[in-house]
Amino acid sequence: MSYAYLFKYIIIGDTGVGKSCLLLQFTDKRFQPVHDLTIGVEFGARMVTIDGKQIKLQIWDTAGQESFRSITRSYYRGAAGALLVYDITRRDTFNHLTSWLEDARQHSNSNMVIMLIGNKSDLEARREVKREEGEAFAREHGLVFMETSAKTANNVEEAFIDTAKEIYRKIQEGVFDINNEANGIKLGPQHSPSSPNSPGGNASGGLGGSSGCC
Amino acid sequence: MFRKLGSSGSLWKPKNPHSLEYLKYLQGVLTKNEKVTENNKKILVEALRAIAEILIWGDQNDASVFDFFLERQMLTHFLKIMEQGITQLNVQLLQTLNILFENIRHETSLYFLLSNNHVNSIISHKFDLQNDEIMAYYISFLKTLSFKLNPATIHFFFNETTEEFPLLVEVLKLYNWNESMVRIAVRNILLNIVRVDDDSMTIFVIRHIKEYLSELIDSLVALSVEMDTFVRSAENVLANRERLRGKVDDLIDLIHYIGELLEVEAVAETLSVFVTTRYLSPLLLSSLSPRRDNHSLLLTPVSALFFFSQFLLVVRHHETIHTFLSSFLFDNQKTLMTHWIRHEQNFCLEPITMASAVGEMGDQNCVFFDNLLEAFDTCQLDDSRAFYGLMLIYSMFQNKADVGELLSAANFPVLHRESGSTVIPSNEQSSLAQQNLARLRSLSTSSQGKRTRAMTEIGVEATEEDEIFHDVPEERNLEDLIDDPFAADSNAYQDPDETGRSRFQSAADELPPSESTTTSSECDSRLFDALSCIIQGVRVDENKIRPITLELACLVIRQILMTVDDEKVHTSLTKLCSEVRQKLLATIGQYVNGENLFLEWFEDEYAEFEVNHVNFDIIGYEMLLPPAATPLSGLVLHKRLASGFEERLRTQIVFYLHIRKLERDLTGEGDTELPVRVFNSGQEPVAVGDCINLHNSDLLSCTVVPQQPCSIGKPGDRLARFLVTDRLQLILVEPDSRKAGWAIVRFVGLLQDTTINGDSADSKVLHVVVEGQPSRLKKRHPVLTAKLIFDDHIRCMAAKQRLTKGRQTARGLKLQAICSALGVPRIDPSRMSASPRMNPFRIVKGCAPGSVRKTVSSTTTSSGTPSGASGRPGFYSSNLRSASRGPSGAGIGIPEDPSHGTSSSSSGTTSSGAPRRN
Repeated sequence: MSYAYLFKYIIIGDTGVGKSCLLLQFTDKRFQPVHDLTIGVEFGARMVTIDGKQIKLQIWDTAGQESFRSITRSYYRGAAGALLVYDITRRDTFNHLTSWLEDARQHSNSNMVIMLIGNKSDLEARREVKREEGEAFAREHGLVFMETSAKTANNVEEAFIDTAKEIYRKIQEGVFDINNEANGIKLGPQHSPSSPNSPGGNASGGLGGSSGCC
Repeated sequence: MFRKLGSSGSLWKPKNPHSLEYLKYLQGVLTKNEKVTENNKKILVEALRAIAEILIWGDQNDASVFDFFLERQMLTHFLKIMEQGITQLNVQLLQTLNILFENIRHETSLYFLLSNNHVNSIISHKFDLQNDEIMAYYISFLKTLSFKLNPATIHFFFNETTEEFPLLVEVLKLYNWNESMVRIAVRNILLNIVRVDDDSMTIFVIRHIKEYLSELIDSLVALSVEMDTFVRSAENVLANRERLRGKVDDLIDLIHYIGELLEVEAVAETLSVFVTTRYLSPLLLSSLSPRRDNHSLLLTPVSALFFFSQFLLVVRHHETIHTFLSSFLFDNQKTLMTHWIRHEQNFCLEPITMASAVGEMGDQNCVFFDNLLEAFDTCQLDDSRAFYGLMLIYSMFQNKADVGELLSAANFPVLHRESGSTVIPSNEQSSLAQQNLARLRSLSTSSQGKRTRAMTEIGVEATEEDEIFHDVPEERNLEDLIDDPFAADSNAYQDPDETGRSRFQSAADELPPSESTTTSSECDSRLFDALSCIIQGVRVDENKIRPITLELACLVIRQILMTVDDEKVHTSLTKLCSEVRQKLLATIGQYVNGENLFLEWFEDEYAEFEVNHVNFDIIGYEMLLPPAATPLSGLVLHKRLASGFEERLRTQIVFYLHIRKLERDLTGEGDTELPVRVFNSGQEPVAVGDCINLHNSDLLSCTVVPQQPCSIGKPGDRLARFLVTDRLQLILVEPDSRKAGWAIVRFVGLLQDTTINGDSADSKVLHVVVEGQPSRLKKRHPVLTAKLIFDDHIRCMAAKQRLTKGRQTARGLKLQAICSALGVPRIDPSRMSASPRMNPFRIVKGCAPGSVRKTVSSTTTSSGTPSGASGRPGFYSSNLRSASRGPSGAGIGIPEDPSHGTSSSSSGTTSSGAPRRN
């Protein structure tokens, strides 16, 4: 399917906060949340429409890469949007937000849109982090905030789409250099004059002749 | 109820989607629809999706589900569908597989899935990878699998007898893919693979990964060359800095990746050889020595030093770092056997033939180290090389390969002395490095290691104390006033290296003396001479040293002094610092008394001086571009050259503060005078929330209307308060309802930072702006911008008088304290006729130099009244005004007569309108 833009997102936050479930919930409606079944994915893509434009969202979960600094660094820089997720029933996941945010801010491009997500809003009885605390943290750090539930699908759609709207707005304002792949934004096939295989974004190449293996 | 499924004939769909029955039904659907057509596509996609769901359910709830899946070899159905190459189905297949491998929790389920080689067939399948969607799911699938690798599962992926390892083979094909997320995933997968501890796999991996590793290093060469080319030609403007930042980030990512691969024993040896023979030696070392061959591809010394230090900051692999460093420290140019040659678009590594070598310069020992020292010779004219030279020395200390050994290695002079001979025949150079290495190793295990450990502990302790030291009353007071979101981060700004040398030194003295405390060697003094060059440089008029370079130099000197204990070095350095400090003071001293804004400039720069700017995640790359000399470049002052009088004076102040600190660290004296404190020990400053006794105080009742949001309210609020002042502070209080004569403090600000303006329309109103003191965390900024409304114009005038006088007194006291801290006499401003500064300020408006048209500057100078306000760039209109008012009051910013409306308002505009550093 053709699209006007492709936005790359990453999802960050402590393990067990429901990142991969959020991702699946958003990218694939066919998986109905069921009581005794937890399914998540580490990658998903979906088309959304913003301002009449088809925009493809590609979402990459970064779970498991924490031990490799080179990998986390690169992931941050390749994304246009980030969902920073904590679990409202676990205070520690909220307490770790600062260090996640520091990491993200340090390594990402300065225009990356970060959305703060308090997940598992369906578990009101076990709530440890007040909604207001999430709001205050977001305000203090200039983030958009939302409480979601991957279980009931509450606000999931909004979280991803609002982030996309914000990125789209920044593109309209000319803040993003859309020709720079490192920003996590790609022009759709009909926009880009060069073939999708142009070597422009290659980190390596041009040295020692061709490898012959690709 | 059963619903009949259209094309699947006799199949009946069970109601419960989470049951073995349902899986059986789905298996039926797959069997009946082996050939994919337009008609059954949708049904198959849904069946594949549902299989993922039911298998995960089975994994979590019912073991029989997986048994059935395995028994019926359902993965073979997958393969058959896959081979038909229909995008929609293959995307679904890959998603199903992703879900399976990510969500199963039972190891047995995982083994079931991996047995009988189907997964390997899927990995090797030729998917249409040009399709973005397929590629993304495919690479995610490989990544998910790579996270399942361990010694127990590796043999499902790697077949030793047939020598097959599809996961590795396929992923290697994608390393240069045009999509960044794919490339990152490839790196991640490869790191996961090489970290599996399995001997037979390791042998296979090394054999197959060699070419990749070689090309990886070559891509590092290409990136380095590309960046070097860029910085040679780009101007220092924001857009270029951003582009450069992108390139630097790519390069550092790559170095991190190489560093992480080097941590893995399996590939470390091979990769280390490539890094050394393809990058470090032929590119970096070559660029740090005189050119021998006209065709060699060399980097500018600045880039080479930068890459070198980045490499040291990131990579900690022992062998690589030691080979490289010992070459750098001891070898001559003969160690360079190869060089890079440009062939049209590509570069080739070729051997250096003796015939092609220019001249006979190859015999000089320590040629690379000498080159580093040379970086400092010309620092007065251009400090870029010196900056990166310092960065390199700093990085040597920071390298984590083996801190003990490397500290000694970086202290090359110390080691050199031990060897007993300073002249080593050139034909022995190759073994010299090895000798040194061997010595390093033996050293590190003995006293040196102990020394280093102890040093680290002291460092930690010192940091804690340092924090207490910084916590002066004024600062605490300020932080109460401002709701500072960054206050919590203050620890991040603590720099363990910034602590006084005296502490380190006295502690280091207690450690067992290292074997090296003999006489000072030639090299030792040369290193210090080089570093001293920078200190000497800031003494020179019109020098081109940037504050960040001096800051880094001081840091490096402190670090070296931690390991070198040489009285002679110590004394000469102290002497030098003292001379330079006095020279700088002579310049600054002229302006302390005559320059209205000296107080602000000094305080701003003191705050700036307290910030630790040496953070190589942030600084470093911008300095690669040619030095910027104007605020228009968008760079902060400490990273560029000063422009104009104010910035030159500010720079001199920072220089002075750094040299003063270094000198005091050398002599072991603490600084009791800076930061400047005007509160007496007996007199605690008032803080917000305090309850104070106001019996017999002069209180002025007023209504405070904030114009900007602040700690006491938001615009539009009308707050009934009383205005009180003490010697230094403006205080707004609210009467305490429980205690007569007492009041609760609602706002405190410093009178010295208060500007007061009357209101032309309302004689009962004063406009007051109070600025917060600059600190390490926050620049000077308004903390209260408000309108004070008094009962009548008499009271208003009284308030104005009191505030204006208070401001004048407070500034006088503060300047007095600064003067005594600096050791310059305080001259009463009223007796000062003029600032000693001549007006250096020329603006040529739209006409060529030499034009007959009169310029503004000629008007000002011809007026013949050089005053405190005149000559400040950007203030020429007020110059004219003050000049016309005559020489009497013009030189002083603090008005003599507080009731004199115009003069107090002009002093207000002067300080609030002062150009701020961004």
